[in-house]
Order: sequence, then C-alpha cells, then structure tokens
Amino acid sequence: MTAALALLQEVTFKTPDTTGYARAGYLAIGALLVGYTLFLWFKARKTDHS
Amino acid sequence: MNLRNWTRALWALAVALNGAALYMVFFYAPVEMQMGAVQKIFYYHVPSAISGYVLMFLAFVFSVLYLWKDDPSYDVLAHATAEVAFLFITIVLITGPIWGRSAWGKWWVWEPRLTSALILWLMYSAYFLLRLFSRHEVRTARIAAVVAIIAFFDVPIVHMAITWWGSIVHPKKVVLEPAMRQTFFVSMAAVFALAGALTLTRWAVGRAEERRLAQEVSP
Repeated sequence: MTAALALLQEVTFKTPDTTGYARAGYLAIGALLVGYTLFLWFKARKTDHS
Repeated sequence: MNLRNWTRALWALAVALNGAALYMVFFYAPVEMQMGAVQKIFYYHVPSAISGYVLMFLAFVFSVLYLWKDDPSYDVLAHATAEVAFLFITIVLITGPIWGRSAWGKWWVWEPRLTSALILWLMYSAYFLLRLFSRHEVRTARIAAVVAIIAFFDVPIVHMAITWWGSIVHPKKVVLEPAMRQTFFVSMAAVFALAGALTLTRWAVGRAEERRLAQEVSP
C-alpha cells in the first residue's frame, strides 16, 4: 500500500512538468466514476437477489 | 422501449462517447501554451460542474413535487438525482485544487466561486448524512426535500460569483481554439451521457428498494 502510494505520488505530483498534475486529475476522475459505477452495480445486484 | 433498455442504450452511448472524449483530450486537443498539460483537466472539470448543476436542478424540481404531491416516487427520483449530482460536484472540488496547485501554485483560494461551491458540497453532504442516519422514513424524506430545495439556491450563486464579486483564479470568459472547442463539446456530451446513465441506474435501484420495502411492510 505504501509502495503503491509512493509510486502514485512519483508519477503525479513529483513529475517536474504539469503532466503529472493532469495525470492526478484524471486518475481522481476515473477512480470516482468507476468506483461509483461499481457501487451502483453491486447495489443493483444485491437488490435484485433479495 | 422500457427503462432497462433505455438505461442500457445510454450506458453504451456513454462508454463510446467517453472513449472518444478521452482520445480527443489526450491525442487531439493541443497542449495549452501557458498552463501546459494540466489544462486538460478542463475537459472533464467544466462538464462535471454543468452536469452537477443540471442534476441539482432536477433534485430541486423532484423535491418540490414530492412536498407538493406527497408521492414517494418523486422522493426516489430526488434522491437518485441528488446522489449523482453530489458525485459530479465532488469531482469538480477534487480536480479544481489539483489544477489550481499546478497553474496558480495554490491548492485552495478562499474566493467567491470556490467558497460557494464548497458550501454547496457541504449542504449536499448534510442531505446524505440526514438520509443515512435518520430512521423515520417519511419525516426524513420531507426534511431532505427541504435541504435539496435550499441547497439549489446556492447553484446560481456559484455560477454568478465571478460576475458579482470577481475572481483571482477563474477567468470571466474562456476562448478556445477550434480543436479545443471540439474536444470540449465531445467531453460535454460524454459526461452528460454518463450522468444520464448513472441517474437512470440509481433510479432503478431506488425503485427496486422501494418495492422491497413495500413488500416487507405489507402482510
């Protein structure tokens, strides 16, 4: 977990140009959208099976 | 076509449009000269904000209809639209500071638009905390509807903040060159389609939960 976070920081905020910040932004957007979609998918499955 | 098929069609459209939008953001749109690659956050940051505002308007309308008609189906709709709106406003509040840190050297500035957007997010947080921790179904739905109505009045304030009070980080007008403009419109369509697909899915889940609750209550 610590190694993954360190790698994430290395490829995002520690990148010398602004590309790293763009990466961080799109990673955050992707994580939130995919995370919420999966949450809804599991919730829909749970509701269907109950 | 029934709701399930509409939802599937919208999901297919959302996946296709987001694929096209991401391709255009990273391989078609040019890198902005002053801010560099971080400006590419704009292509999802602004459509997320607009989607959030539209969904908050819908949550406002359904909340008014719920209080007026006392029909629980409007409460389910208000809850679904509010939840997806909250997701998009959260995206705006996370990507904004990342962009700001790179472009202006600061994660956060207490200026009118950012402050009013944070207040909007906090009001919606209150809406979901209320839904999460209150046990009285009908009373909770009514208070939540009032919170959604009050929270919506902050949306025009967030939008007009720059015109009314000025801003040190947000420009009044953004001029885009053709490739950037095309990318922005495709991103806008992609985020709108995704917001629609998520809302329809969330609504279907809400309706299924409502039916299950009704079955549990009835003998």
